[in-house]
Amino acid sequence: MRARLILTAGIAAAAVVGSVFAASPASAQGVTFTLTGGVISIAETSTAAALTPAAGLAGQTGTTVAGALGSTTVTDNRAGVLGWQSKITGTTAFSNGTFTIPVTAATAFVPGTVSTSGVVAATQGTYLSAATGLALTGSAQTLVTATAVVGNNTATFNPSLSIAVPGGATAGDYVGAVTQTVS
Amino acid sequence: MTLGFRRAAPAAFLVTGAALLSALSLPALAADAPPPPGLGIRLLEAPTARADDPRAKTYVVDRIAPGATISRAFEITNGDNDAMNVILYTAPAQISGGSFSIRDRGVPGEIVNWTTITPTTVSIAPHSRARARLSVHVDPKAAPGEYYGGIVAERPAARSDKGVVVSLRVAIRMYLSVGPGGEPPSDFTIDTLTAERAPTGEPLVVAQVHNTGGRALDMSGQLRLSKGPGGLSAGPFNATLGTTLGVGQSEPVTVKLDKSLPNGPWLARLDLASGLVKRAATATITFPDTGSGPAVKANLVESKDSSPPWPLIAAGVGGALAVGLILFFFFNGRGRRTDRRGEHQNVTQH
Repeated sequence: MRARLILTAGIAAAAVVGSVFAASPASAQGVTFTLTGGVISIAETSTAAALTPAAGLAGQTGTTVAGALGSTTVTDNRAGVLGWQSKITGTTAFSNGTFTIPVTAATAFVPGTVSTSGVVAATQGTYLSAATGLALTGSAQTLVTATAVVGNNTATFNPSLSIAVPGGATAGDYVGAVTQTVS
Repeated sequence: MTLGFRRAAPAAFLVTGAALLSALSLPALAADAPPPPGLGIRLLEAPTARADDPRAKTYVVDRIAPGATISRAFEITNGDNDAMNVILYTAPAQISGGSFSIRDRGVPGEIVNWTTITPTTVSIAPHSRARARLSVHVDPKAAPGEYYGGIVAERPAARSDKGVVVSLRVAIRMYLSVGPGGEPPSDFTIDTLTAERAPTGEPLVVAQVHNTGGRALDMSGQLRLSKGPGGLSAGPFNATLGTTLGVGQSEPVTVKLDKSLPNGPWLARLDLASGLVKRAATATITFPDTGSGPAVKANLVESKDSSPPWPLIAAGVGGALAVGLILFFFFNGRGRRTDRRGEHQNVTQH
């Protein structure tokens, strides 16, 4: 009886130790194990952002229109030391149906500070204003960089756009789209 | 000699074992927690051959022979109060300037040709999760080399008659090394350390790091200062980098320090890691009052693994649990037997 009990306990113990080492490097290629890490996410209001001209200027040629895209929060619950980047892409040109302003007329920037929680250094670098902002293109470019990460962290910032209104632009409501990517 | 094992002792072992087990299962809480705000993504599977590599648990990092297939499950989360329609796809990526950039949907590339995502669209209820699967079948004629891409989950922008709308994308990076046999080794060097003073007054240490291996690297690390004025020590300070170094690329790693530190001289030690590859270098530096000091050639030293030895801890916990279980069954059985005999429960050795 006692021998059987000890044998059972031994098998149970071996199973525990074995499960700890289930992910042994000696396993064959193509075999995977299940991960329990957390999610990296990006949140931003889905409401369209209105870009408005400076006071006294009605968005005429040679002036700029600017506005905030909406507060953006990146949550990194991966509990690691890998940094992350938030990138912005000019997905479509800005059009009112009769006139099109190219993506490259737009500048992205993050006014103020990037507020964070957890151990992370998240910054927009020099992209602080329209004057020193990031000229948009059709490809993803880094707007906010998070480094020196230790464990879970979050960052909240307010990406904004400034668009130079080119000569010949007609009046009307312009529509455009940008993409924010986090990885 | 008397060994005073009482019947309560096995119970104590079991309680300790249960507490250790619950401590071991803590990471599961992250997976079961409510989804964070907005659109989220995470990898659900990693190759057992890379169980020790933290990069392979966050990104798709693998070595694949031409003609071979790999598969990974991943999860998409909706932490918002409204249902979310999400498009899933793969896109090629590039590394430049220390930055990993995933291209737009529809941009062609080898990664896109080799991959299948199932499903390609998913509707996720508020505060819920959905699963999907990536399959990579490398073209048998693929040229050996590094291929970069991303598994992308996209919440398309809402339709609007005016203003600027925003699409959101979250992505899992893919670092695929294609070729026969084992993968090329990963390695890097820390070439120089330079003491600088930021315009805001903070001292900075800038290290030039060179990827000398055959795979891309994601750098992290810490700087420590010692042998300062009056024997002062400082740190560790976390290193910052534009995150990713492509093969053959050289980029600066910056460490921002405390404004109150004296100028020095200091013995600076920088420990950097990418996955399992760790390197350390030292140099004697002095912070200038303004601008940049000279770049000092770094001496490569043996890297200390500062992370806890988790496999050893796990083995210890497993062993303790095993001993607890064996003792429990041993004395439980023996206790019952001695009860029947009406003898004393303690065991006496001479």
